[in-house]
Amino acid sequence: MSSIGVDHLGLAEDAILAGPMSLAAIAALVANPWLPVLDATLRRLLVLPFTLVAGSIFSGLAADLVDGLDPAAIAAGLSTSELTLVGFILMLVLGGLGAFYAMLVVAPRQLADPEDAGVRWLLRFVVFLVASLTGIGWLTLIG
Amino acid sequence: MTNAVGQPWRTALRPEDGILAAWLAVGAPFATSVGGPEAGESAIAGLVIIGSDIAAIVCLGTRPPNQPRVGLGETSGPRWILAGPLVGALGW
Repeated sequence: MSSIGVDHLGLAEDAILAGPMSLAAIAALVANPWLPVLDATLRRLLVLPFTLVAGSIFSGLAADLVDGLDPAAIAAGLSTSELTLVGFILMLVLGGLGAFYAMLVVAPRQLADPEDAGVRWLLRFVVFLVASLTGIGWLTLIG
Repeated sequence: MTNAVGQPWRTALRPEDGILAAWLAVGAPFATSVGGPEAGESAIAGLVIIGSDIAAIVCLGTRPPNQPRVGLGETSGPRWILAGPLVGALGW
């Protein structure tokens, strides 16, 4: 994500922060036991922008993936050989959203404030899925 | 009414879930539709992205009050597993 950020700033070498960011994150993890204690609410606030930014980037990627798919064509595809392709693309989007959610939403939030959420993550994922697909629909319509 | 782990349903969703859902459903598409390098939003977006990365690193470097101080041995293993994708995404 640091490369995307640098790219937005218009700098020529967009990977300039990739190494330092990764190293800083690893150093923070290693030094964690000796660094300060921070209130869980504040830690949750700190990772919130990261999940929002990551969500935006992933939604954009997913919107690009489904861009050009015509809902009418998908419906028609249910009775043709294109069904397999449509199913594959839908699986890619749903699987991608699931993997994204586990890696870039669940993991940071568990690190920020460890909780025994259990089955509640399923409900949270459903909310995330509905919101993501709604946003992807908007992005696809906007073009 | 409680969920499978005996907690009230109202605690199933945290404020972050609502904020993330609202952002993905409305905020992000809107920002994409009105934003653009010509209007200068691109540099702001870049700063926001880098700032969010730094905030996540600060979070990685601290620990909540209820978490015991652990070394780099077995007890910190799950933390490293959770942090792996995060470190990768920060460098991406």
